[in-house]
Amino acid sequence: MKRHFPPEMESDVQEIFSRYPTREGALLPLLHLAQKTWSYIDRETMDYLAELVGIPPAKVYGVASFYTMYHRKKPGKTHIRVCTNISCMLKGADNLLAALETQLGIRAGETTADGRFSLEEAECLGACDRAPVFMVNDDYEGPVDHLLLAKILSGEPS
Amino acid sequence: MVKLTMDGRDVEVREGLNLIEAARSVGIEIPYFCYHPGLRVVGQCRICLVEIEGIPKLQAACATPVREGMVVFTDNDRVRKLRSQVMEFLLINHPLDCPICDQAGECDLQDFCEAHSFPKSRYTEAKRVNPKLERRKIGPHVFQNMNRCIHCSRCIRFCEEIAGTGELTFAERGYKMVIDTHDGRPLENPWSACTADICPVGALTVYDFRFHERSWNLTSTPSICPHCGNGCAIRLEHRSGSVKRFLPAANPLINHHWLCDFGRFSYDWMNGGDIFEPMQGGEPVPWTDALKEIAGKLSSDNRTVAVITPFQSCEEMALLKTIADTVMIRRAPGEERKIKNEQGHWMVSHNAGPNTQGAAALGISLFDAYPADARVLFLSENLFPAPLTEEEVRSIPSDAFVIAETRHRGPLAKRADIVLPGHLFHEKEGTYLNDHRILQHVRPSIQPAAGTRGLLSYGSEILAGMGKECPGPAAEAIFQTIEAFQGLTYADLPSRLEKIRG
Amino acid sequence: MIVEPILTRAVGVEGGHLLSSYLERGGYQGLKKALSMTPDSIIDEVKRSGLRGRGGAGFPCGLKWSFVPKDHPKPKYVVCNADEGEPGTFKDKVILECDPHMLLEGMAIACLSIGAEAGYIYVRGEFVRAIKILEKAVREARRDGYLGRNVMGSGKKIDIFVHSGAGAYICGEETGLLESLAGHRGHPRLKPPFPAVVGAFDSPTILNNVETLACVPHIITRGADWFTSIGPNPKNTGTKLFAVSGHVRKPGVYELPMGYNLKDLIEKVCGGIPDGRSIKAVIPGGSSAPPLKPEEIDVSLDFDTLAAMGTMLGSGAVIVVDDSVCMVKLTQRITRFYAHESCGQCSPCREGTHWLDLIMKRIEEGNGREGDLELILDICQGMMGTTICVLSDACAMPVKAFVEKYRDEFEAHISRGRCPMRGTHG
Repeated sequence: MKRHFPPEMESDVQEIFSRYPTREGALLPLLHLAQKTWSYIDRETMDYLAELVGIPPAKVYGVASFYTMYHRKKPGKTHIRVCTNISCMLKGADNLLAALETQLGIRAGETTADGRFSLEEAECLGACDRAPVFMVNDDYEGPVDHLLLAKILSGEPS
Repeated sequence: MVKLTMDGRDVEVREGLNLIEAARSVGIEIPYFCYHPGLRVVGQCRICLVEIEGIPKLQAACATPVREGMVVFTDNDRVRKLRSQVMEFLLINHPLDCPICDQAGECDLQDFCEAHSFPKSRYTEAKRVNPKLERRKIGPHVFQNMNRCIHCSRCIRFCEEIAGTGELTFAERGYKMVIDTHDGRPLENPWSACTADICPVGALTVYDFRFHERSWNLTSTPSICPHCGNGCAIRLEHRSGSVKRFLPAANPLINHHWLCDFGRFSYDWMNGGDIFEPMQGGEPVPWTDALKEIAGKLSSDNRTVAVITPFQSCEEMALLKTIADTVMIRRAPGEERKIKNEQGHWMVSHNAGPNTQGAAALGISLFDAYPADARVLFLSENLFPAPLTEEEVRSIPSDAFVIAETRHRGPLAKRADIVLPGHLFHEKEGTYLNDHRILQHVRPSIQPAAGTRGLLSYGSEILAGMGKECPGPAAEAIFQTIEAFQGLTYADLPSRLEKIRG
Repeated sequence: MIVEPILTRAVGVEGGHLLSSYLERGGYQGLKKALSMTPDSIIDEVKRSGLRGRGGAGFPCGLKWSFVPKDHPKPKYVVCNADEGEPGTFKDKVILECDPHMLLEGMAIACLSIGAEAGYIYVRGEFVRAIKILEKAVREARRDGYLGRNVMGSGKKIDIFVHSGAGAYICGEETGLLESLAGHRGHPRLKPPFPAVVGAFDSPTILNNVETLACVPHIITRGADWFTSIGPNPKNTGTKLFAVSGHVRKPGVYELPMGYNLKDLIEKVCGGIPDGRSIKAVIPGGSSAPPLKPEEIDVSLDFDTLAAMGTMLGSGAVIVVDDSVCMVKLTQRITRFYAHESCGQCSPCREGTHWLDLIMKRIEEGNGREGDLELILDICQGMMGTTICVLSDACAMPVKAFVEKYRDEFEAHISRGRCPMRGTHG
């Protein structure tokens, strides 16, 4: 299935290109835009962006696979990033991650069979005073305790 | 020129050189893996770090241009310790594949290890593996063993900068980083095998050559690739009289360090041919008899026309001009072949053969039809790109006496009155003028097949039999009779900087 | 010494991130003044202030700006490093979310100092909220003429673009950032040439951390002398944002004069260690900074004091670790981080970070062997000063320090085959 940004997004795409003196400069924001539109970056998306930017598809693949935020497999409707770096580890992040894995029945890096949740072990998210910190889709949650964890899993706003 | 001190020696080197090239120019070898003179500098492998007085951190020699008064240490304790550390890092995940790896014998990693006795490995963890990329054809001519990769990125840079196709990329990050194409696409540009050349280890190897020969069993000779009119410099490598492979050699004017896949892999014909003695009327005859017969035919008033291929050397063409009344060249058109030179310009040829321009320089016209009054025809054919077809042979005037120089039992040999098994390109010495009018002198790579004789030799005998003077059979002597090359000797040509004015 | 906050004035202020609020605080007066100054005098003022980079390296800011060549055929750029990825660091986010115009003003002044007409803020991709706030601030600034084709009526052109990263710590390294900005993998570049000459899109570039640029409007409005009056000495000036986390009662971002005492910060400002525990280690400047033992924390938090002690102020990220924590586990978390984040270019870093992590995992799981510690120290030595960028050093330095300073814990793991504190962690 060949990808193409829908016509109503054309002005967004042009605005992105206008920010940079080279076409290639637009690649990272375009990958973000593609991910927002189609929820993850697949081969067709990489080919499309390669053509749009004017670079070999291998270059798009090299860039998409370098950065952890670009999903190359479809994530769950709720993607949970659990920081386990130093400050969060000091505040019990490892136990929270284990609890999440048990409750969801998946390991970090996987997605639940029903597609509702995916789990990622993350490096420092830059909110260490609120350790332990989660990112739930685009939102920061923290300090996370088992109560908040339950709310996140049930989809309640915090 | 720039004056600096290297390892305690005061030296003078060309301006603008990096320290690796500068050191090499004064006989000091600094090891390197990611550096390549034909590609941009990335300074990634870190094996070329040297100490420069006044700079606390060791510096990458590949990325440091020479400066007046620099004091460089390429081999002190600190540098040796660093090399030992970098080698250890490179070897901890490198599989001990040498016994089954094609690269053995021409492997930069192996060579450097061998030259320095590094201490035993201290790595006791599991080695990194990449099952999907470990043992697979990555393209029609290139085989990948990702486990052996030392991540020097030369292959990636080649595809970006030289081929311009960019099929290869780093993927993933850190210790998981691999080199791959996107989405299973093949590494398939016209110069793909160059990536195997420049891979310093056996991570990329030539598929066509895989498991065929050990590099140390091959005899390596300098030559040029005859498969198009670019005349790229090569090393022709052979064993037991058979050509085993072509490798590019460096020629800044024509091919820099590169060779196209077509030229590289088209050499099978050099190991072909099935005629090894002169034939007359389909029966083998001794050379003396055949040549006497020919001399006789040429001495009479018969008009002799020679139609040759671009595989004849300039000397052979010059000699034929004294033997035959008219010499014409049957052009061998080919697909467009191109290669990048050191300047980054594309050298393009549409001729399948090394000496189309040589013929032009000698005033030899293009063959178009056999002249009606040609009584004697001297026709040569080459196994590459193809011998003459039945149809082409049918167009030879039926009443002409045909002398054929060929090694192929085909339509031409069948039609010919006399067949002479001449020398193939790699069996002879001569000069060739490439499509860009660069004149190159080539020496034979392999002993000619027993029973065969080169045109310069038998042609001289024919001339003697005709009672004519002959400057030959020595190639250089004939060379010096060529008006277009007046003033040049073979000694001028090895520099390969001779461009013949139009 | 009580010092009025300059970087955190808007924290806790409702709508403090809005242009109207910024103007009430005297915002864009620095830019107005800078528009009447020569580029050289702007750079001089920043030089005289003693402002040093607050991203981690502590390089003198004005000096860095002066490296940008005056005559150059290419357009110039100002790039703000908002990639804040150093573990323990979360202080730039405060400026991005609470006082974005302060950053924009600082960048605009930097643009004037080198004749740049465009700036980029490279924000780590996870800071989605900060990115939205910054984009809104840029729209406001453009709307009201603080950015755009006619900045504050001067006829000068300055525009700023917000660029989102995508999850890579190495893009906080200045040349890794520049590669990423250009749409590439974030592989750091060889230096020289430095970004001042070959920077964003291969053009001359000023590249500074958020906090560093945020200091600039204040230096211009109130003068270099005022800035140098804060801090212990002329080489360590101004206020500093300290991000404190870990085992303290009141983690958070605190703006204090440069040179504030670390012990006081932990005990007085952050309320000390909870739960009756005591300090076992303090990481003073983010995970790349070697740790300090409890007896070493009565020190001035400034660049030079900490450097002299073999550690660093870095980003000013203070992580406090109490005595319930196993140092081996902590060290393995550090090696795991660097192994994940190494870009993979250089042999020592790509192979060394992972090798260290594998050994650390083994020791932590109780499978350590005799000789492992010497091996770790030797690997660290091969990773320092040998690579294109300092991620390799950033891994090796703290690992080396943890092994040296807490050696008995490591040895106990190895000799006993388990953690002396609570059995194996595996």
